This record gives sequence, C-alpha cells and structure tokens, in this order.
Amino acid sequence: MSLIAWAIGLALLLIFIFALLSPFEALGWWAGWGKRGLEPSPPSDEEMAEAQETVAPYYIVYLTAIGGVSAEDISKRERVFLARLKEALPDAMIVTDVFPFSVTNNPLNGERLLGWLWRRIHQSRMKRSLKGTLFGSLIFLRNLLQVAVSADPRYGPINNVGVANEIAKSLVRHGYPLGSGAPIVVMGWSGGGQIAVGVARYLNQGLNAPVYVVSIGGVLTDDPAVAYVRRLLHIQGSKDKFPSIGDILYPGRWRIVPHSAWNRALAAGKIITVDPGPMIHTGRGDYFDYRATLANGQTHVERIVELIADFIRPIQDVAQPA
Amino acid sequence: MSDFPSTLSALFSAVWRLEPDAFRALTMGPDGGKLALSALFISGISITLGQSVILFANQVGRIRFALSVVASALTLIVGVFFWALSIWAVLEFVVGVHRPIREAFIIVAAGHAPLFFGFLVLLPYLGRIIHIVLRVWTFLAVWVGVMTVYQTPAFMGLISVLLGWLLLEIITHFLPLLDDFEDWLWQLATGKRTMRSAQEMVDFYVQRSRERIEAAYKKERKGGGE
Repeated sequence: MSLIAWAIGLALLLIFIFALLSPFEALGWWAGWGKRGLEPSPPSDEEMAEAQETVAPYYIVYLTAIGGVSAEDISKRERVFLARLKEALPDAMIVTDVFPFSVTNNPLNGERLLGWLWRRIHQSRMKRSLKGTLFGSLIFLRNLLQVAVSADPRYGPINNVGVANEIAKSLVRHGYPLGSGAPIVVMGWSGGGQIAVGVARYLNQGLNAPVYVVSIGGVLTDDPAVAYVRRLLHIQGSKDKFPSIGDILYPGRWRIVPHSAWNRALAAGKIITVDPGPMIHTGRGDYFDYRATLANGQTHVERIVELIADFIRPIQDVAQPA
Repeated sequence: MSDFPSTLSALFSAVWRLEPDAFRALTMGPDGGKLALSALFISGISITLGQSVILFANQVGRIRFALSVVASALTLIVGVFFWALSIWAVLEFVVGVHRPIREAFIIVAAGHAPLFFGFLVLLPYLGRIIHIVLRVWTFLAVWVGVMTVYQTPAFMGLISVLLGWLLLEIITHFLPLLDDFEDWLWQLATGKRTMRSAQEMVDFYVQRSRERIEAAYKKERKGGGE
C-alpha cells in the first residue's frame, strides 16, 4: 500500500475517533464526571460580587469560528471588526470571553488532558508552515464536531445549556442587570452561528430576556432553539458556500418540511438573510477583511459592521437603560 | 471451547452478510444457543454504549453507569426472548409450522448481531441514521433466519416476523410486564427513580437557575434599598 493510502487511512481513523469522542466533553460535564463539575446555576455569589458596575442597555456576545482555540486567541481581523462594531454601537457592552466550543468555557489550550497538544498545534499553526496548516486542521475538525454535537437533538440540550451557562456568567461579570430583561444579541461567525442559535433558548428562559442572533457566514442547522430567537440576521457572502452545508444536511432546513422550527421562523419573518457582497468564508476577502473593498469602496469589515449596526439599532432604541 | 471466540466471530460476520447457512448451523449445532446468547449480549453492550446519552443525561455515576450498561444488555435479552416467543406463536398457531421454541430464540438472538456496531450510534449527526440502519439490518437478519430455519416462503417469513413484533407490542401495551421489568432494572442499576430525557433534565436545570437568578436579583434590590 502506498504512503498516500496509509496517510488517508490514518486521517480517516483519526476523524472517526475524534467524532466518536466528541460528545463526551459535554456529557461528562453534565454527569459530573469531569473536574469542572456542573454548577447548580449561574451566577455564583462570587461572580455577583465581581460584576462590573457599569450597566449597558443591551449586550452583544461574540462567538468565534471553528478555527479558534480560545476566546482570547482570536485573529487580528476579528479584533478590528469588534473595535469597529464598538465604535458604531458605543452603548453596547460587547462580551468576547466565551469560547463557544466548550461547555465549561475551557479553551483548547487551557487545562485539559490534551491541552499540551493543542498548544503545540496552535503554535505550529502560527508559523504558517505546511505542517502547521495540516495539524491546524485538527482544530477545525475538533470544533466542527462540537458544532455537530450542538445541533444533534440528543446532545444539543446538554451542550447548549453548558455554553449558555458560561455566557450568562460572563454577562453578569460584564454588568448584565439580572431581572432587567435587557436584550442580548448573540453573534457567531461560521460554526459559532449554530452555537448562537443553540444557546438562545436557555438564555431566553434562564435570564427572561429577549435574544437576538447575528450569524456571520454561520453554518445554521435545524435547531428548534430558533423558536426562542426574537430575530435572526444571517449574513452570507455571495462567494461563501459553507453556510449551504446546513441547508443540505439538516432536513428541518428543507422547504419540503414547512412545519420545522426553522421554516416557521422563516414564515414569521423572524429570519433575515442578507448578501453583503462577494465575500468568502475565511481568509483574505472574508467578512472581516479590512483591506478588501467592495465596488463602492467600502471595506468588507465596514459593510459587515454597517449591516449589524442597522440590525441592532432598533433593539437599542427599545432597550431601556436598567 | 477454545474455538468459541473464533466461532463467535464467524457467526457475527455471517449474520452481517445475512447468510442463511449461519442460522441453519446455529439451530443444528449443540452450542447454537450459547453462541447466539453471547452474540446478543455483546451486541446489547454495544448498542447501550451507543445510546448512553440517556445515562449521562440522568447524571448516573461511573460505577452505576457500568452496571446500567450490563443491565440494559440483559433487558435486550429479555425483549428478544419475548419477540422470539411471539414469532414462535405465530408460526405455531397461525402458519402451522411446528418447531421447538429454542430455534426461534436462536434466530432472533443471532439476528441482533448487526447491533454489534451499535456504539457507532454515538456519532453526532450520523448516529441517528446509523441507528435506523442497524434496526432495519437486524429485522432483515431475523427475517432471513425465519425463512431459512422454518423453510417458509419469503412473504410468509416476513408476515411471521411482523406479526410476531405486532403481537409483542400488543402484549406489552395491555400487560406492561416488560416495561415494568425495564423500570425496575433501571432503578436498580442507576439508583434513579425515573428515566428522564436530556431535554427534561436540562429544562429542570434552567428552571432552577432562573429561580436562583430571581432570588439573587431580589437580594440585590433589597441590599440596594437599605
């Protein structure tokens, strides 16, 4: 057998093992098997005490894409985007410290059994070598499988309530006034889009707050949690084919299933899809590119910020400062 | 006895290929019952692992988890016994084929060999499709077994297996003995009174969280007012 066949076989075996083990982080956490046990509820008294004094009229939670190893290690393009968004929406409190692919907000390079491996892979990826790119694809694979876990009705409730729990804790740390019903906008890029929809139900029920979702090239599935989203803005570039994966793989997204949660939300006008122009999913020319320009001279990131700000402003107008 | 593992492995691979000879050899051989039961137990462990989300969702501890996997495999054996009994009854009293009940049990037990791949049900997204495939595969294996051993035409074999299944459904509906046994074994193995779905457990958790948040909010307001 040739070396290439061996390599392909090994890669498939690795994918299979990864896939088989992918639900266990969430399941182990929920069953109390892991080190990071299931806490009774958000937030703890310590978190209440640590909470920021400033209260914003509404909160935006940003969830990174499947290439991320942690909420902190995001790309320069994402940082530029978030800074521009803050400029456009100065009253918003933007929360960026939740890693969407872990139920305990534990980054891949954090305290975990294979933390050392993820750290090495991440470092190798940063060197932009062929080896780094190859090993870096393991990060994509691992997080992609967590998106599949979130979308699977068997595991989704457990996975999504875990991430929602972490978002709620972070919101409190950022001064979210409990009981105020201040609007929450969960914004996810790529796989983060599915997680944003998945957590909406639990944020809405747990915090009794209206939840809005912004999906930036999000791979959205037929998660029934979309019923708990007040409004959903889905931004999909004309050169980005990745979000179509969700349209194909999840029957609830098909037109022939009119009573699915997704199609009912669509019929109710709760889902708005916008084409921002010829943008790709990731890399040069993606949604957050601050150099690439559209025909009107606007940069990609400026266009995305404009679309999101236009979506959020009406929310801001009705949100009363607590 | 030394070739038991290799015979078992041959049994698995023959049933996976839906080979009629596998069922013939099992019902005629002296170790047929033992082999079929072993295959069923292994398959039961595998499918239970594949569906173990229910154990995690009910927050079952590690030791009880292991116990529950074994208990669930035993439940499958009991279920298979009743399905075999129903098929035997249909063949005996409706079709008029008179054979020992042991043969029906061997066929149904060995027919569950495709559930050896039950652990694959764990896979996110694909798992649910795999589960359906395994169920259909199991049904086909039992059908082939009935046709071969009872020497019935394909249609009659299909009717017998379907009627057997229907009879079992009716019996368990009006006489919920099997369900009661499952509940009793669940309580014994897991230590949990009721089996709840992941969604039910999560909803309960969110409800508790919300109550706690409201209490914290009231406390905060009270503190602020003082």
